[in-house]
Amino acid sequence: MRKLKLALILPLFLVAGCWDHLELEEQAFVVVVGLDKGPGNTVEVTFQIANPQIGSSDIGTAEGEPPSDTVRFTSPDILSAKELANSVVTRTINFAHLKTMIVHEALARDEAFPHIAGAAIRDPELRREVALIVSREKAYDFIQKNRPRLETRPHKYFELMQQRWQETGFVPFSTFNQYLQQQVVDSMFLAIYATADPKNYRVSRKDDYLAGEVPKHSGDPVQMMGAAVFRNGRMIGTLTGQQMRWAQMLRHKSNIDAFITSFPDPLDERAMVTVRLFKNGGTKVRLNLAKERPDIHVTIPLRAQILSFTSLQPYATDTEKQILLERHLKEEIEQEALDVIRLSQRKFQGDLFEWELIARKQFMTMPAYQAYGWARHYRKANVKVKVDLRIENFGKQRTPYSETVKGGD
Amino acid sequence: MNTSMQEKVGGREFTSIFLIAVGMKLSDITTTILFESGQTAGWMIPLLSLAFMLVAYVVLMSVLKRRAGQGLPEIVFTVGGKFGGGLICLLLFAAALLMTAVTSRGYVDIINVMVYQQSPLYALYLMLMAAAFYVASRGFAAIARISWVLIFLIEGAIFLLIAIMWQDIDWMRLYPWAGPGVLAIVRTGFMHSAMFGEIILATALVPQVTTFKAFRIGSAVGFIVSSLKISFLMAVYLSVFDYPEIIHIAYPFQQLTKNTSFGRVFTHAESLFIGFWLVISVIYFAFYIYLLAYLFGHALRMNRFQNLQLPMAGLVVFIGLIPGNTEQVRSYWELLISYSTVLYGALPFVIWLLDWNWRRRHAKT
Amino acid sequence: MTTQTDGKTELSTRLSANLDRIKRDFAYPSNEALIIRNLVVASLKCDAAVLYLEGTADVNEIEKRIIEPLIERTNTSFKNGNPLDAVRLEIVTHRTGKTACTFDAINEGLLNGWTIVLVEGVNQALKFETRGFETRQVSEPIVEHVIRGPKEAFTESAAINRSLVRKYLRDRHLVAETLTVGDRSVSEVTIMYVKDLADPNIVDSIKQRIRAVRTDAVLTLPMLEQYLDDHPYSLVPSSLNTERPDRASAFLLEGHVILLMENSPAALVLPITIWSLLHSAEDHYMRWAYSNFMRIIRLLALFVAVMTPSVYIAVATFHEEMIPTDLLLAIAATREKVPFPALLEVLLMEFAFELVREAAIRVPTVIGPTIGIVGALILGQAAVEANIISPILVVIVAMTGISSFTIPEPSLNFAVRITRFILLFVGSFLGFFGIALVIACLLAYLTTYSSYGVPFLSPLTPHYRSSADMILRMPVHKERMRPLNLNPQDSVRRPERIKKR
Repeated sequence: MRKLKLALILPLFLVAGCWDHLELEEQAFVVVVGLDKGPGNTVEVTFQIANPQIGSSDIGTAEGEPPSDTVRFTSPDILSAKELANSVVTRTINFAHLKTMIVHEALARDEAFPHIAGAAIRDPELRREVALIVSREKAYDFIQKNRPRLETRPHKYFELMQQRWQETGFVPFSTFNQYLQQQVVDSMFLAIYATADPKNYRVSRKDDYLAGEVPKHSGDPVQMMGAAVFRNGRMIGTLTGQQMRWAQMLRHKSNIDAFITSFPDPLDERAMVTVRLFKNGGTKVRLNLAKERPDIHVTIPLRAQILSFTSLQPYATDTEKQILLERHLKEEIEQEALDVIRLSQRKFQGDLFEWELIARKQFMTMPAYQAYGWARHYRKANVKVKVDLRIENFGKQRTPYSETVKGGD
Repeated sequence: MNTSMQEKVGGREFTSIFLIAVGMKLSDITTTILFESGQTAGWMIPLLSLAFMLVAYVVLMSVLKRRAGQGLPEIVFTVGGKFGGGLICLLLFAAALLMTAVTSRGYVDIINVMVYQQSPLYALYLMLMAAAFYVASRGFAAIARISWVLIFLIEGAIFLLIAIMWQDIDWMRLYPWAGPGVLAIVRTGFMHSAMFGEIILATALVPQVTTFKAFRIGSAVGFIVSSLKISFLMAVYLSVFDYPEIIHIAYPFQQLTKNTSFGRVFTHAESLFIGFWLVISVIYFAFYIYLLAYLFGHALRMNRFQNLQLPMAGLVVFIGLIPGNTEQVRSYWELLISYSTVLYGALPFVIWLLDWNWRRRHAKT
Repeated sequence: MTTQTDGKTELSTRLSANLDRIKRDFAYPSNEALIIRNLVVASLKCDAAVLYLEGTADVNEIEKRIIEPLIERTNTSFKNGNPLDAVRLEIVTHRTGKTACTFDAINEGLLNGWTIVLVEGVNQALKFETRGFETRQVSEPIVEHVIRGPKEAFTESAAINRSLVRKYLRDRHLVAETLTVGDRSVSEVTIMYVKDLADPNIVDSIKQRIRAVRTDAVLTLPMLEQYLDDHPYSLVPSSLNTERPDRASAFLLEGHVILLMENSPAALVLPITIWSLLHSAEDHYMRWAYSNFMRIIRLLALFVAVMTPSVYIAVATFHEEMIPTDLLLAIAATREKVPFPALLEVLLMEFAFELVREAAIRVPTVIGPTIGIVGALILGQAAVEANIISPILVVIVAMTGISSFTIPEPSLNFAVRITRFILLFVGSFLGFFGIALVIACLLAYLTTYSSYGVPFLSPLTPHYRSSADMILRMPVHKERMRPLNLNPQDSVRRPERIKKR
């Protein structure tokens, strides 16, 4: 009996198997995918394939080979492009390490985009945590121009940038998963907005830049700043970097904890006060949905570290001036937040801040909530923003230099 | 034959079988189906289903308590006579067989879709069932002991999974908590109570457990904790994926594991979880193969049913390959659940009636 | 059994007839091993002969304790009338003395180093235990080294081994029973157990099995182990060889049974569980934190040794998404130049490693270390430079090999090595799916495997109460119970905890 069992089981292991077996060096790992609008109903798919022999140890290095290979195909959807690619690329295309997808703005605004994206997700290799970036120019050009000088391998750039996204808050942390989620709810999806084409260089006192406007010289060409706003899967507008930060702050659960920003100095028009703001707890949103125009009260608890003020006023030592500064900062922040909210109500006509989750709390059943129609009511809502600001410290310098010098005279 | 293979199973091992076997439902197609009808309240449904099934269980227990040491087949033969007993055993066997076939097909689909896209279905199926058959052939003791050895590892892995996903969880997504309405939830819970139908089948295994008390505590604890686990995990799925996206996701557990990453370095740890999941599914199906052979053997009044295990495994594969694709599997599952609910719900009452009748007749004489 | 078809197995009263028979049995005089010393017993004034086999008996004892009193004693008044009894009880000063009635007994005694005394006119012989085989001194253990703790090992003499065990375990309940195995060359097996601890069922079943062995000779303990084995084809061992008396005594205290045999510097412990195979002697000689640290490392090493190559292959060929992108690209880069598929690479390296291992055992000690360095490093490095294997494989195979060296017990070591190959093949065919299935089957096998009636994975499953010493150990004062899976008669090592001062 035992021999029978063995005889039955063993051959299965020998005969079967090997269908999904692929040697490592026979695979081409695509690290970035780009999507552009193609003629007719097609999509131009760009694959950036990492070359393992660059950046590895001496044994594996091959001289003269580029760090990555970019190839573009036109086809009805992403997966058929994958198949087409295998006619050109010597190795099997593998999405296992794909973490970034770049979409051309024109395609994102196109009505075909939700269909393309929704179709592509069926492939188990295409993961939902792929980061979605909207580029102002064609995705192919973006990928070509993205040659960071300090990173040898293409995936490294995006891997490291992910951390930066979370630190600064200038861009949202957008994944495919969120995109698909928010197609079917009343919130709007925010995607990273980037460009490799710094044409619109301008200087502004606040950081309200969009990608391409950041005032920098040389360095890597790619700028990621601001967000692309999507509704029902299609892009309808953009937010600047600064607006994006406030949008993050207004969510009840934000990814960023702290960021540094500047405000005009209350006592000196030409100067700016630079502050590091921390979220001191969750943003509280109170909704009153009883009326046709709902009331929304938002409270943002913040604490601030005053990092620098070019006016050199004695904020640190003079309590009156401190109170003035605090009040001024509060007003500035409230105004900026309110601006963003008004923008979402009037220009985008949708909820950027996932407040619909809070609205859902007020209904017992799903059909009731869906009958209410949050998006409709949000547009007309009466929003008030309150900021609870507490200044924590003033840095390691107590009084500015000019004070002490003057006092000595 | 090892003597240790014939030994009875202790309470700890028995409980861990159910913690594993019933807890597995959080990782298969059950969850998506429940979210379809339950919307944002889908996570409550397992609790309700268990509550309904417990009623039937308590009724059945009252019959079993009087005859400690005898399992379900022996009891139905006593109270129902040869014909009644055989009929009941066969009905249970048929329900269990179809359920196993459909569930196992679902699992193989998951492996095919999520992990090994190019391997043919039948090969994966055969290998899974071959391993399950081998484990079952080592006896009930083997199944129970493996469960005990692995239980802490498994619970640890689930805990780890939730800990990693904690940041993506947004409990606000559970609102509105009444989903489609309280009545609809209760109705769905009732219609799906066959989800926990194994609790009725498990009573067939009373003679394999050392004491009746161990059996009672083991099965009760196993099922209650499992249902809590399933509910909690479903709440986690909902709070990560949000309704209505979750009904578009075919396999939420596997999808959840795809999102796991240990820091920046180990970004795709889902194969690890799939490994654990596969080991437990072998145990799960070994348990079912054992049970099927047991029930069928008793239905035909055979004493040695070890030899039936191989045909059972083969039968499961055969029936499991019948549905054409994954969506058909889901609809068969739904159909089966509805019928099984009637069976598992009504059966204890029928047995109780028969027992009452028998006692009345035998009390007179 | 007689060596000659003489028909007569009993002695005659004539000394010369007996001597002739024995000389024939031992092919005297061409076989110079038989030494016969004819003498006259002074006090009895009759002829006698002292016989022994050269090389088996301790000559000193014979001269001083047997021959000297026989010749020198002149006092003729005896309490016993029977000359044999007189010789045995009143003349010979040797510490033992038994009678032998058949030639079989005489032959067996001579072969085992006993001295035979034949007296004219008596149809029985006397035999005295003067075993004096050459044997090694008690030395350090070769395989089971410890840093702290006794460094004595068993030797090839069963008497010395028994004495070593008794040195450690001074308990009047410690019983040593002797059984014989083998038909042509009869070997003695000593069973030692603590009478009021060991489960009598286990002891009886072991004795039955030993008696049931039917073969011409069982020369050493490892061969006896194979005869007693219930699962000869299984990869999993069901008994344990230890060369340390302290470890043997520890097992005795838990209720195990020990077998000792002549010519084997080891004790066979049965029944065992997997935990006995995984614990080393040193675990109890160190403090709680240190020994648990070692145990954790050993356990991790066990997993590494079994699973690493198969996991590497499975991940590299089926589940590439698990490797961090940088590492993946590095591996792919180095693999581009290697002509072989991954499985072949791993097999090549593993085979080379096993070769080095086997060679290291057989190479003369003078050039032993050289082989180690040459084999491991240079060969590996050279193979990488020649693009035969990729560098990460050297790391993996080396790690696997070193981890498998941490397993204390050689039989388990082999079991692990073979399992590793099985998992390797399965992993390369089916990735994690295959590995998971095989692990499930392995677990099923292990949990229902039993060694002489005790389930192999107990007291983990089936669950028994045990001393807190299974995977990790507790401090000594918490180890109160004996493991109940052996069904000991007295399960408590020490009474209720004495209140701490």
